[in-house]
Amino acid sequence: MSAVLEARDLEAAVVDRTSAPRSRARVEGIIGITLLAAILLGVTMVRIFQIGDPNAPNLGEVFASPSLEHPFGTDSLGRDVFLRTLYAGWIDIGVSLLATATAVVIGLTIGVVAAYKRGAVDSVLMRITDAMIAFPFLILGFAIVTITGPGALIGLYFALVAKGWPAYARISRGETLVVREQDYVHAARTLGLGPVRILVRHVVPNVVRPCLVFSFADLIVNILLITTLSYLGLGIQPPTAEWGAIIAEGQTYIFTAWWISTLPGIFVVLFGVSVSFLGEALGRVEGSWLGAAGGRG
Amino acid sequence: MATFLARRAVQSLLVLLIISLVAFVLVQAIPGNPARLALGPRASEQSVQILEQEYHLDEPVLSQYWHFISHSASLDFGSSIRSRQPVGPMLLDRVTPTMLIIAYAAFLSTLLAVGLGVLSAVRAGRPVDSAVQVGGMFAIAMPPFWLALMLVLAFAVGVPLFATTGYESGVGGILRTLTLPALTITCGLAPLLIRSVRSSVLENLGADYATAARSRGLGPRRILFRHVLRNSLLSTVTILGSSIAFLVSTTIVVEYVFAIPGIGALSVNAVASRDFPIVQSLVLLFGTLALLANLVTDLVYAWLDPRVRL
Repeated sequence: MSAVLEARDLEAAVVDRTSAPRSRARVEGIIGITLLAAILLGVTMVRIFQIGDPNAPNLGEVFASPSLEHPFGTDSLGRDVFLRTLYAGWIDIGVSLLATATAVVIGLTIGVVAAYKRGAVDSVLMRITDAMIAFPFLILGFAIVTITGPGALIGLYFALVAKGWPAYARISRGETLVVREQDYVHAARTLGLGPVRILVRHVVPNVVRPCLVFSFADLIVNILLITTLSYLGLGIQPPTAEWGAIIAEGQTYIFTAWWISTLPGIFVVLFGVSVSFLGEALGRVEGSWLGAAGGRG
Repeated sequence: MATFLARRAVQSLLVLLIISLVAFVLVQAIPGNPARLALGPRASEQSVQILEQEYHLDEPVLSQYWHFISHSASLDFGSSIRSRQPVGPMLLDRVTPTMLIIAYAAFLSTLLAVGLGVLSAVRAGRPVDSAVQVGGMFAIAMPPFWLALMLVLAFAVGVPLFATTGYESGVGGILRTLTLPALTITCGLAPLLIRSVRSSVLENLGADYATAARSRGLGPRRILFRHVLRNSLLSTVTILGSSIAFLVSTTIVVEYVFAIPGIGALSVNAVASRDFPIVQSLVLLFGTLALLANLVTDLVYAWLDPRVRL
């Protein structure tokens, strides 16, 4: 430990307080966007052009280990695991994206209204928000799945939205509290603009950025939640290809056919990492469309 | 302090009310007849009626809610539809391993966060710092159940140092059976804490008091450990407190993978079979737990930082 704490290190740390060198943000951004583009391209191409059948059994080729023909090997029914992983991406990424977007809209609306109105509206909305943030999201997911029944896509969507909005409400409330006291908002009010117009035209554009920066991290959490529910058998049901369900199916054969669970998992990790890289880079690079909001410098 | 506690007590009661409403609405929102759904299509009309009476499902909504909160307040959570056993003792039987995993994971995460957080703050912008941050991004992106499986694969085939299924009590047993689950959870939680420690150590190193200490000629190690670190841990305490939701969620999944007889497996089965009294109790239990964790966080924060007046 002592070598770590050389005096010059401490001095350097104080002088250089930037989060990371700009060059790293650029490298991360390039890696992130390339990886993400490749994944999204594969997932959408396979789905749109209906390349191969992810559910067609091929009993002549069960438990084939990874090869050029089957990059992720085949499963107990001889289905191509790579193809299933790509098809699964359509559902997993699609539902997560949709739910993240919905959560941003709901959370932003609640946060902006709470901060702009203040008073009783604010306290009630924020107490609910606090309670929801503190609540374990998996239990919330359980509760919603109990209502809709296991296997309903709509239940997964609601679970993700219910988990997602409170964070955006808290972020946008904080930002709005600052923005509403800015001169240009006062000016707009003096000009006699209505509250709806002020909120939509002047407040929201300045509040939306930190929400979008956060949404990158949130998207990853949503992917993890949807795969977790499906892994537990409460989300998307087999034989539909879904990342969590594929990993669960492979678990039975983990010691004889390690690839069925392992490789789709790595695919999920790569997707998450590419999203995080991109989010970090966009948040940090000044002048990018999310740049000013990062503020992590 | 007294006014703070009083205000928080009122707030907590309000939040508890919201939680109980959520738990209650859960059953109301199940489309169709919850008793019929829970018993399955082959159950007789009579047994459905008996169940409805037992859970007061045939009464008006308001009186149902009254039954629900008055029973819950006296710690009577009804009985499971599947096993017919009372839910309270059932949860109590299984709560020990779950709480142990949560505590173990929180401990490991804090340890790792202080170590790596200080390291990457002190080496900010250097390769070590980048490696810690990029490693964190990978760790966060891993589905916990998948990571757990990978650990099972590694430790069952490779190094049989830890058990990969089940739970044993006693210190040795806990270390043997709960280390891998705790490690899995740590991977998800530690990166958040590391970030927090890193940024607050950096902030404190640049603060006036650190400059003053430096100009008095104190050594860098002494400044870091005696002054900066102590102040930096404040924000970590807050983050740890608000991570209880994450901890609980991940613990449930991880318990399921490692076949630990905790709350996890019980709750997954309950949801799959729509055993609503158990799900309701889980909502109440963990809602209350989260509430308490937040309260304790605030108190610890005030205790650590004398500037905070409650």
